[in-house]
Amino acid sequence: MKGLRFLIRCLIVVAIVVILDQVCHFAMDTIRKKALLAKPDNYEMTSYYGVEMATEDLLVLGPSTATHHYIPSVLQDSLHMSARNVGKDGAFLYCQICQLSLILERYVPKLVIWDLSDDCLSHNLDWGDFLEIRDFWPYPLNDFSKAILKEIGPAEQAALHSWLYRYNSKLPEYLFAFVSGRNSFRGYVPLPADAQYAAGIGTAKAAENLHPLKVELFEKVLSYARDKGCQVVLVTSPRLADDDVQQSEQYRKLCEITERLGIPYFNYHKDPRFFGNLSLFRDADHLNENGAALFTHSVIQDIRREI
Amino acid sequence: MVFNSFIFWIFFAAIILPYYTVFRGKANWQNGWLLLASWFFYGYANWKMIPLLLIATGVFYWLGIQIERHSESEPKRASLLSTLGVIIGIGILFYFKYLGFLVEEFAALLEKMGCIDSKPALRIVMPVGISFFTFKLIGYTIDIHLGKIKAERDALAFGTFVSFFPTILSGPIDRPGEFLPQLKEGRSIDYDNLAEGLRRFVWGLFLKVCIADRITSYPNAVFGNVSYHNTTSIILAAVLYAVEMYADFAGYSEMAIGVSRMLGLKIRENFRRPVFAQNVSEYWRRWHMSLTTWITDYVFMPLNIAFRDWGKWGLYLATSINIILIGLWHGANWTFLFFGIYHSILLILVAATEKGRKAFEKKHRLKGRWFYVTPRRILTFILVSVGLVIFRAKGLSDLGAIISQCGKGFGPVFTNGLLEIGTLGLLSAVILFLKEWKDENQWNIHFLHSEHAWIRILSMAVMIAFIIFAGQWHGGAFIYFQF
Amino acid sequence: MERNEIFSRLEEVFRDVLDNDEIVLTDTTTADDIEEWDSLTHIQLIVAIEKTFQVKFTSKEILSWKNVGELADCIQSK
Repeated sequence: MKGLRFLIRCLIVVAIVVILDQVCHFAMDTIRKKALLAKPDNYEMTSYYGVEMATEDLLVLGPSTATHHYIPSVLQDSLHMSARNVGKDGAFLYCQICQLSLILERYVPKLVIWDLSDDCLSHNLDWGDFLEIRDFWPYPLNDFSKAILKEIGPAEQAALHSWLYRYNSKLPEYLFAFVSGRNSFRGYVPLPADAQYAAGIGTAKAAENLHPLKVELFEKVLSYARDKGCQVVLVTSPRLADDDVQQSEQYRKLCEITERLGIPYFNYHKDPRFFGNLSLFRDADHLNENGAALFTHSVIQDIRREI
Repeated sequence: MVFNSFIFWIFFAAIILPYYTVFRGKANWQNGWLLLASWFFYGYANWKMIPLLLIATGVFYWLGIQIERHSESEPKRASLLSTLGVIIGIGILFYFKYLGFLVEEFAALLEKMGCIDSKPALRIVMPVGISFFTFKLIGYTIDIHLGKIKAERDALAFGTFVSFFPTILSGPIDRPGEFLPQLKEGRSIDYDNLAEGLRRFVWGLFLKVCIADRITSYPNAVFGNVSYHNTTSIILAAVLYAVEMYADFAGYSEMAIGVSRMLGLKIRENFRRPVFAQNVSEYWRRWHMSLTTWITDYVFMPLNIAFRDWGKWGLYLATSINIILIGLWHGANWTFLFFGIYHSILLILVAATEKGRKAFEKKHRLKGRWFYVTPRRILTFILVSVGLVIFRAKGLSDLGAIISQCGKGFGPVFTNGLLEIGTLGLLSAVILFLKEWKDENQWNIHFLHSEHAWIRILSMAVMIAFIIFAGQWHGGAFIYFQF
Repeated sequence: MERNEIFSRLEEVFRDVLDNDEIVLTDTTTADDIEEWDSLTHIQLIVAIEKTFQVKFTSKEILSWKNVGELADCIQSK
């Protein structure tokens, strides 16, 4: 019967895809682990390093403001604990929530410095956030990633049943780490101070509205860290944007959460040591290597004072 | 609903199940079902435009019958009705697509001359797919008038022809004479059709998701911000855009053809390996064929016939008008006009040198020789890519910016996103090229179409796995959606 | 004019314009049957036919011919 034969062939196709799916899981997992062992300081591997390999006492989390602003060697020398920067460009609140939860499942760092913007609890859905969160799809899902997945939508939830999808676009990333990739200084990528930022301070409108899921997961992961005995410190990096964020709802919420949970929060957004000092900035959102050095020392002093 | 989305797959599964079970073999029921599905599909894109679609369908259904009724007894009246149909079709297209632009340009001109103070803006929402279904309707009227087809009395069939969901948004543009007869018979499950339809759909998905959507970020980045980029990056972006454009549109067409095939209906092909065209004229015979043949049959031929006594100048004029209309069909912007003019110059050159070239080829026996054919193909690709840069520009000032950036010289290439594009995108593009190369040379190597079932099964599975693994699932909608 | 004569003169025109001495025309011949006959040479053929037979066709007539037979009918009716 032609119909039956057709159906059987379709099922065989599906079966082969499922087999390839499992092969992919095994192969890609192996490749990633090998790449990490070969090049642990490689910038492309930074998300994975924190989750799989880190043993340092101090970790720095955050987007590009983390990567370019915190110098692990300085932190190490001053605070007398091993330090590693596991920030990643373009990865925002959801990514750090995921990353921190996965790290804590494996080991408990003594101190985590989490760099975030003062309007991070806002509703503006950073599409970049949703792209970078896929770094974590190869790992087993926990409550945090499941909640974020639900937010992204049913299509994504369905697609995650496939390992081929979970490893989508990852192969070039892993292979590139073997070949070259950017090397960092324990996760820190300095921005050269040769070209001074010329444009000056811009005005920006604060992002809209509070995002309930971000608030919920943020609080949950901070509590989780506290329960595990990990000290978290929140920092907002200096920025050349003159805006009204500090009057906004999401900022108030951020301050409320940090107070309630007893978590130190240092907001450098308009700190006079940096705000307006153009020689320290590479662009409106990022400090150059001079600014980073000064900034890391300031944060260290704040930490010493508070803890 | 885009073809590369879960929601479409669910929709299609919901359509095809009753189609081949409850309605199996019953033409009227199947046509009615397809019609409802098509209206739903169109409404999903923009429900406010459903009345337009319904009214246009009704008006042309009536017109078709009237033209046929009067063609024997009152040919003048039939002629008038046919002209009316063409005018209504063009009118609809003109109103929704071009009026706003013309009003704004005219107002800008008046403002420059100091006649008025501020520019009024005329925002007319363009219904999706309008360029496609109006052409179907205009062609229908003309075909009846010329006696090429009979007017369709079956309202369900006619409605389905106009609104057929796989092709309504971005083509291929079907001809009533080829499509309507297929609706006369009930379709029973044909496993060959299902298999072939699936193959074409999966191949189209590969083109769209693994090539077009993968590559698109680079031209978007470069052309979206031209003033930051040098000539090297612009050239790379132009080449990538040419590949993206083809993969995007051919991918969509393959998926549309595949979906139709699964429903037991055969529709027009749209592409025939354009990268192997040896001159711009051949390119247009291989690219977006359903549109170019439409314009050839309904515009070019009548013009040619009207200008036939003017010798080669008549031909050149008809060619120019033809290609400029094809350019303008894509949208209301001066860049589409320039695109048309650019290609008309190239086409006239090809036509003018045709006799000499044929004689040269014959004399030196060059036809088909690789050292003759390959440079011609490369040159054609370059010329076409330049045309696409004009096509892509958002407006005249954008085009000017691109040109001035090119004048500033070469430099290091912009590398954002090139890792995934250069590996996964390149690999996929190479697979595409190899397949088309073997098809062009008619080599007997087949994977998805192998004579051995196990090779077909294995190829299909590998292809699906590859698409899931290497595709860019978060890319944009089809480029041709806005036409 | 006799239909046979029309056909033989048409064949002459076709062979001349399309540069192919082996062309043979029947009532059912269409452009698909002759390689050199495409939309461009179609116009050249019509111009030559109009000249040879001293007739003028309307656009509608030209567009409605389905094969050489209908073309011959049209010539005969003039």
